Amino acid sequence: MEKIKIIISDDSATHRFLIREAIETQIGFFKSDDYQKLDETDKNKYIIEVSDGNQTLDTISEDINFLFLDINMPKDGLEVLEELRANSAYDNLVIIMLTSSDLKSEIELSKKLKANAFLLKPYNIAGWDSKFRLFNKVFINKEEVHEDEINSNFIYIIK
Amino acid sequence: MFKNKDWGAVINALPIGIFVLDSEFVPIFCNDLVTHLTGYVIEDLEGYNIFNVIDKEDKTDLISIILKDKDKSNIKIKTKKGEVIYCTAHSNRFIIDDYHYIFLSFIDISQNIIQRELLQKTNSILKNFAHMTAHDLKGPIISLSSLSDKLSLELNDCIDLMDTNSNLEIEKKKKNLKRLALMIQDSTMEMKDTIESSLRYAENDSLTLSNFKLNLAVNLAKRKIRAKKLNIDKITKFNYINTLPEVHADIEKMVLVFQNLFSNAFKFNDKEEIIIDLWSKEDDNYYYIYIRDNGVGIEQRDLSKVFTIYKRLHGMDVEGSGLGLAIADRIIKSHGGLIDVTSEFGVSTTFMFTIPKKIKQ
Repeated sequence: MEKIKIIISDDSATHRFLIREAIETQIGFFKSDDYQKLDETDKNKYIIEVSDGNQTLDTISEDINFLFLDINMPKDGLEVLEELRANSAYDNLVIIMLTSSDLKSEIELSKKLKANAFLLKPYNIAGWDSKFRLFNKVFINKEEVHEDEINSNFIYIIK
Repeated sequence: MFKNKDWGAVINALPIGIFVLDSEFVPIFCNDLVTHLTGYVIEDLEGYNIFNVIDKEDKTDLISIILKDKDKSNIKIKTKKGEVIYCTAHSNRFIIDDYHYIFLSFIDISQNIIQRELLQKTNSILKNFAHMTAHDLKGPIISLSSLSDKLSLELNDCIDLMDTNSNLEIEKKKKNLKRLALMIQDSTMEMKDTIESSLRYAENDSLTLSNFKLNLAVNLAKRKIRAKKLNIDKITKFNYINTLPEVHADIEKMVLVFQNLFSNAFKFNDKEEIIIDLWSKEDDNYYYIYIRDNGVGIEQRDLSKVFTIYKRLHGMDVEGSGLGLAIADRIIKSHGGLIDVTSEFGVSTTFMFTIPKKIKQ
C-alpha cells in the first residue's frame, strides 16, 4: 500500500497512545500530527489524532484511508459513523470501531451503519499487537486470513 | 334502604368508595367517600350510567366485574374536575323487592400507582447509572493494565540494555519509562474521579437545611476550587451584578453546586481572563440564580444533554468525570428547584437555577 493515512479518534489520550503504538509496532514509524508541517514524502504515511466526534468530522478528508473510531466519547462514534456513511465521498474509507465494552446494541448498529470492523480494546500489549497484526494483514497487505484468527481478535470484519 | 340513617352512617364510615347502581347501571346512591374523592354528589349523577364517570378503556373491565367474570379489576374514575383516580373495584349484585341492584365498591390506589411509577423511574435511573459507571471504569482499567504491561516490557528491555552499556539507548528507554509511569498515574486519577463522582451522585437526597447568604456558598466553592488548582495561572474575576439572596437550603450541597458550575466554567475557557458574572432575580415563590461565564460555550444541539450522567461533551483530556452537572441538577431538584442552561457558542454559557423560598421536606 503506497499511502497509509490514518485518523485515530478517541477522547482518552492514553488510548490514542496505545493505538498508535500498536500501529507503529506492526506497520512502522508514522509521522504526525500537524499535516501542514509535513514534507511531501511524509504526506503518504501519517497519523492524525483527534479527541472527539466533531473534530473527527472537521479533520476527515477523502485522502484518509483508515479511521479508528472510539464509540463512547463526546459526539459519539456511532453518530460520526452514520454521518460519514451517508456521504458517498467516503465510500472507500475503512472505519474500525473500537470500544471498551461489547454492547450488543452497539455492535449491531455498527454493522448496520457499515463500519468495516469492530474491536474490543484489549488489556495487555500482546492483545494490542495481535489485533493490529491482523489489521495489517487484512486491510494493508490484503492477505487471506483464517477465520479463527479473525474471531479471536475482532468482533467482526467486513472487508 | 340506602337512605336509612343507620345504614348510611355505617356506609359513610367505610374507608372505601361505594356506589349502588340500578339494573340500568345508573347510580342511585353513593357514599361520602365518593363525594370526597370525586367531587360528585348523587344528584350530579342522576340519569347517567356509571360508565360516564369511568375511563372509556375500562368499560369492559367494569362490565366483567359486574357480571362476576372477574373478582376485581383496576379502573380509572374521572372526577368532577376532570382528574383521574386509580382504583381497585369490586362488585356484587343483589335483589330487594324484585328490583335488581349492583353494589360497586372501590379503593383509591392512586398513591400506590404514583409510588410504583416513581420506583420504576428510580430503578431505571439506578440501572442506567450502574451500567454507565461500569462502562466508564473500563476505559481507565484498559489504560492501567495495558500501560503497566508496557512498563514491564520496557523495563525488561532496559535491564537487557544495561548489560550492553549502550547509554544512548538506555536514556531513550528511561524517558519512555517515565512517560509510562506518568500516564499510569493519570489513568489512576481518572478512575479516582469517576468513582468519587459516582459516590457523590449516589449519595442520598436528604437535606440539612439552614438559613445562609448564597454569597457564603459562592466563597466556599471558590476556595475549594482554588485548592484543586484548576487553571490557577489564569486571572479569574467574579462579578456580582446584584446581591445574592439569603436562602433556606443545604449549604454543603449548594457549595457543591457552585463548585461544579465554576469548575465547568474554568475548564472550558479559552480566554486570557476568566470572568464569571453572578446575579439573582425573584418572584413570589422562587429565587432565580444566574451564573454566566465567558468560556467556549456549548453548541445548541448539545444543550439538552449537559445534565445527563456521563455525557461528556468535551474530551477526557480535560479533567472531570462528566458527572458534575448531573450532580448539580440532582441537588437543585432535591431542593424543589430546577436548573437550566443557555449558551452562545464561543462566547458564553449561562446557568440558571431556582430555589424555592419555602422548601418542603
